[in-house]
Amino acid sequence: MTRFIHDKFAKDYLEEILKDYGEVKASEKVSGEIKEIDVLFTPAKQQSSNIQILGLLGRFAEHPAIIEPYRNPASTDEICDCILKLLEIKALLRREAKTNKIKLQDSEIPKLWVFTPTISETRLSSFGTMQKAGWLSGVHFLPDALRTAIVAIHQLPQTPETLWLRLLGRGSVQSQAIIELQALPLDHPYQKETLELVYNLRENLRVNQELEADDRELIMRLEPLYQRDREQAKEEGRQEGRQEGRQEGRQEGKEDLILRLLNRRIGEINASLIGQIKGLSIEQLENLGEGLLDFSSVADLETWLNQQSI
Amino acid sequence: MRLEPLYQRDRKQAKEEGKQEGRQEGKEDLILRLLNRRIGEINASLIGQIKGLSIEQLENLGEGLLDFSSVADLETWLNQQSI
Repeated sequence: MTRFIHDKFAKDYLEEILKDYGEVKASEKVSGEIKEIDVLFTPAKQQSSNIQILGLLGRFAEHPAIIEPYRNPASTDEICDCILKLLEIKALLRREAKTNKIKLQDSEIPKLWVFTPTISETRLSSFGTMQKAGWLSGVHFLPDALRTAIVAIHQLPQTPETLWLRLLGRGSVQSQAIIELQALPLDHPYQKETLELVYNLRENLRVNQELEADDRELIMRLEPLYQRDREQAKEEGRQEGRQEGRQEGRQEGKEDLILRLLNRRIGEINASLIGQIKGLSIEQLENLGEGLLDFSSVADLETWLNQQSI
Repeated sequence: MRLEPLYQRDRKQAKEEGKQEGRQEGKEDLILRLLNRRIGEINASLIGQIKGLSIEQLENLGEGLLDFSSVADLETWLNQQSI
C-alpha cells in the first residue's frame, strides 16, 4: 500500500505552498469524530496578491478551505464523508458564534475542495454538479448550499494555471506536471521546495515493496530528473565552495607570508600588531608586503599601520 | 531535504580544496610582487619555475628574497632547489 506515502506527500506539499498565505492545519481532527480533515486552510487577514502565482489552487485559497486530496479516485462514500466533515465544521462555527454572540459571516465558513485523480460522469451527476461560469473545466460545483466542489484533476486543462493541482494527479498527468515544474525558471518561489518534496516521495516509494504500476512509472520518470538535479546541486556546491575557499585562502596565504617576513626582518611582533595585520584588506596586505622590504624596526611597522587607519 | 545535504557536503569539501589553492596562489602572487620590487622584472621562465614550487619552498623563497640584490641571486636560489 503506497496510498499513505502519496497522502503524506499531498499534505506536506499543500502545507508548503499555502503556508505563505495563511494558516494551514494538516490532519485536523473534527470534534467528536474519528475523521480527520486533510488540510484546513484559513487565509491571512492581509491577503497577498502573490497568491495568483498558484493559479487555480490560489483561487481555492482566497477563502477558508477544506482540501481533501485523494490518491485513488474518490468514491461516493468518501465524497459524502468529506461533505459531512464540512457540515460539522460549519455547525461548530455556528455554535461558537452563538456562544460569543457574534454574527457568523458567510465568508468565514470554509468551502470544501475534493481533489480526485479521475471521476466518472455518472458519479458527478449523482452529486448534481455543474460547471460554473468563470471557472476552468474539471472544477465541478455541487449546489451552492453545500459549499463544495469536486476537482477532477485529469480534466483540468494542461496550463500553468493548473500546474499546482496536476502535481497531485496520477500517472501521466502527474508526470507531465513534474516535467513542467522542473522547466519553471530557477527563481520560481515554489519550484525548489516542491521538487524536494517530489524527490522525497520518490525515495519513500523506492524503499516500498508493494509498488503499483503507477508508482513504478513515477519512479522511473523521476530518475533522470532527480539525477540531473542531484548533480546540479553538487556542482553548485563545488563551485561556490571552491570560490569561497580560494578567496579566503589567498588572504590567509598572504597574511601568513607577511608575518613570516616581518619576523625575519624586524623580529617578533606582538599580538596586538598581528591582530591589526589580520584586519587588513588584501590590497593593504600587498602594500605592506612591498613596504616591509624597507622596514628596519617594529617602529616602521607601527608607523605604516598608523597611516592605514586614516 | 534530499538535495541540500549533497550541496552542503560538496561545498564544504570544495571549500577546503579552494583554500589550499588560494593559499598557494596568494603566496605566489605576493612573492612575485616582492621580487619585482626587489630585483626588477623577472622573465617568464623564472616565473614558471616559481609557480612550480611547493608551498614550503615558496615560504623559504619569501624569506630568502629579503637578501636578494639581483636576478642572479634568484637564479642561484632556484638552482639550489632542484637538487
